[in-house]
Amino acid sequence: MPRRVRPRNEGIQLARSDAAHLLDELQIASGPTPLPRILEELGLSYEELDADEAAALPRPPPPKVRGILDAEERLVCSIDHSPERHRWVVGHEVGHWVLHKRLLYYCSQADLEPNATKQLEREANEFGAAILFQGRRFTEECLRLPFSLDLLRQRCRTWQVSNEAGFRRFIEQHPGPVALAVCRPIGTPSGALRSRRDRAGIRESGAELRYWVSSRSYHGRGLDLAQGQQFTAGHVIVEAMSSGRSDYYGEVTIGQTKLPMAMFFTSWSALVIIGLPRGESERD
Amino acid sequence: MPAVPDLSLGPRLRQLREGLGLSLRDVANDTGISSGHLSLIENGRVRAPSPSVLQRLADRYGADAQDLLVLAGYIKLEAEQVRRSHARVAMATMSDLTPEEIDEVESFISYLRQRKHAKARATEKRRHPASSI
Repeated sequence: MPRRVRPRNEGIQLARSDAAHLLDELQIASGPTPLPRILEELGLSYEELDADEAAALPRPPPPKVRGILDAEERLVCSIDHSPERHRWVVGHEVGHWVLHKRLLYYCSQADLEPNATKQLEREANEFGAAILFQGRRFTEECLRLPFSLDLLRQRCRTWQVSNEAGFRRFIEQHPGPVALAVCRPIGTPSGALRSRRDRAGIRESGAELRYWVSSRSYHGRGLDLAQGQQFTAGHVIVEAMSSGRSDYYGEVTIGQTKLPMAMFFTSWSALVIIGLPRGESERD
Repeated sequence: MPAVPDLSLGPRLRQLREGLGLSLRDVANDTGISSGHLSLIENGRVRAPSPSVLQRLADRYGADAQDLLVLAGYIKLEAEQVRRSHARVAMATMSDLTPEEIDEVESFISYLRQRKHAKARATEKRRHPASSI
């Protein structure tokens, strides 16, 4: 079930302040965050394994395990396909090391998602994000530019973060009333959004909300998306997803309110930014 | 496996603090956790404080963080897990693994450790070739 993510508690605050303290200590003040240096400074060694490579090992890990922190051995391991996702996993495991050391952790995909349910994992995610995006620095950079999907993706590439994580950070810290809905086709396995032909099938299957996040000023306007919301044929999100276009700008109606919408496909999900017109910057 | 005193979390934390002769304010100053929040924890009004709060308190009190995480209910020690050779695996947070998958993780971690040590030995040999003779 998708859920709205609004971390507000002492542990989350500590995760943020510990991350900021670490960046200050190491005098890291521009992106991308030098993770190898952070690992070295903390005395952690690192193993990065491609998911297929890991599966072919004589003693492979269970497929659901994506990240490991062996605190006793000061060892971090990330198992994934994409370099950006590796960085997310490393940031998360470093979070376990700084915040909850002395334990052994093995983390699943669900633990690394923004809607992770376990407090330990949410804190590690918050720490990892604060390290990778350097508090508000990434968002401030994006806010200096007029809004477009292309410019936002360029910032993500520069900062070596995944588009999904970068878009999420930008929206959560945006000063205006904006939201990000992360959608996927119903009944379609991950990676199936790569081809245009596959996308055309979405018109029949419809789409569902994986999760959504919003800026603070979006709250309380009666524009919340519904938990478990599904979008059927004819809905603008389904039409946009099945159109075959990689970038889509249009409008979406939430409740009775029409809002600007910008959508971009990853191979995994459709990222739908709501409430932010193309070309608008913070300075406008 | 560290022994867990027969107290609930709040009284245990108060006992640790008072044993060191610290006031709530002292602890707040040292850890950055507000004294109000500490008081709520000690009085049992906050039953499961954040793991990073517990880690910080364990560090300040010189206590075992695992004990506090067990008392707060973050870690469940299953009898079967405790019997395992790698009892520390019981401390892991992923609760949705089957016993077979836990075995796979243990085995994989042993492999990672061997690989790390082999790399370290190889690096050492490159640095000091004479010592390897």
